[in-house]
Amino acid sequence: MLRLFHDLVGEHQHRVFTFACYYLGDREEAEDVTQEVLLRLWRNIDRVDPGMAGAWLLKVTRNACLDALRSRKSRRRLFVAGLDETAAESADPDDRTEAALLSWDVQRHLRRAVAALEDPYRTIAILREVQGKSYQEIAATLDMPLNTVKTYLHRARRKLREGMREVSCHAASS
Amino acid sequence: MRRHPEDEDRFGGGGPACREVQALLDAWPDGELSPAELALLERHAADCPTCGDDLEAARKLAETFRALPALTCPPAVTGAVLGEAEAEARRADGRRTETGGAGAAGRRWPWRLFGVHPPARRHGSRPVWSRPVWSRPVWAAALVAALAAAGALLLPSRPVPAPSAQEVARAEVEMKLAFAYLSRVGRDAGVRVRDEVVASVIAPTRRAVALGEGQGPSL
Repeated sequence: MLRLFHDLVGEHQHRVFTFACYYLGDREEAEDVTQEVLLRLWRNIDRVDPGMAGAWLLKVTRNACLDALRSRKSRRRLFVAGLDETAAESADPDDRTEAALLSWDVQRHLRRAVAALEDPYRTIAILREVQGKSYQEIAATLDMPLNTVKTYLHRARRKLREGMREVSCHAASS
Repeated sequence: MRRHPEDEDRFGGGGPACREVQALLDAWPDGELSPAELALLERHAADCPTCGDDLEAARKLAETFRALPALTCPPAVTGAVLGEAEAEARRADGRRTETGGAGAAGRRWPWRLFGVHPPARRHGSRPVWSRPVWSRPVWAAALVAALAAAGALLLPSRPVPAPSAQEVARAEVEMKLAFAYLSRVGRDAGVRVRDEVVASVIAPTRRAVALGEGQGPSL
């Protein structure tokens, strides 16, 4: 069982962490959620079908993120600073061109815009746009009809376009 | 079909062509538009400034998503999780093998010998044989006590033999001495035991002995 658990962690750890990061917009909270979710996987290792571990982990991660949000003192804590530091660490330190800095700034705004979406738009946007899941996978994981997933994603994209349009206007005027 | 408020055309010029193009724009990032649909979208976007801006915004959004760096789970998180799992696995193995090298299999109740299934246990509960070591002596002592109680109830009780005449005589002497001592204590203290009280204690003993052996000693 321990070997199986090692394998599953290796396969899914980054996906769980990424979802939690974008959902919560807070790196420290995302680390806590990731740890909690993976330990929960270990304690249910004999009940989880290895072939369905991805879907199981996604559901558990989303629920854990919702619990983390509920326990937050402020309702909307768009504390994306930790996430921005993560992105900055992975950026090329030698690339300090204006285009690179602008791109980094735009990405920061996008992350904030995603974290500001309401569920289920946020979940679907992360699964589709960040993690590249297919509509069928998303529908199966969230137990939603396919057309509902598409509708929700389209609405999420409109909200994100609106949010990014404001960023572009602000950048153009400055 | 009633339109959801969020699906109202907040973008574009609002005309029929704009509404149709907005629907195409929603599906455009997925690359699922046919060549004809794509041509319609681009042609309209070139003529309609608002839809053109929307198409440009959709392009930038898709491009930004593609450029997002991949996030990796910190090694400290993974290490902590694997360490905890290994520790729990070691603790579970320790409990199973503590009573001898047979492991869990060596401590299972022989349900099959009795032709019955092991009792269903609640989710999360552990069978008796896997409980901590300190509880086994308690279980053993409880079992012995239960067997002793069952034996006491089930085995026929042996009759207690009646006391012999010598034993009764000795008991009477002891009682007399005890009463004499008490009398002395009573005199010193100013109290005394009435004769009828003494007689009420001695007489039944004499009668019991007389019924068992015929003649009892005289007082």
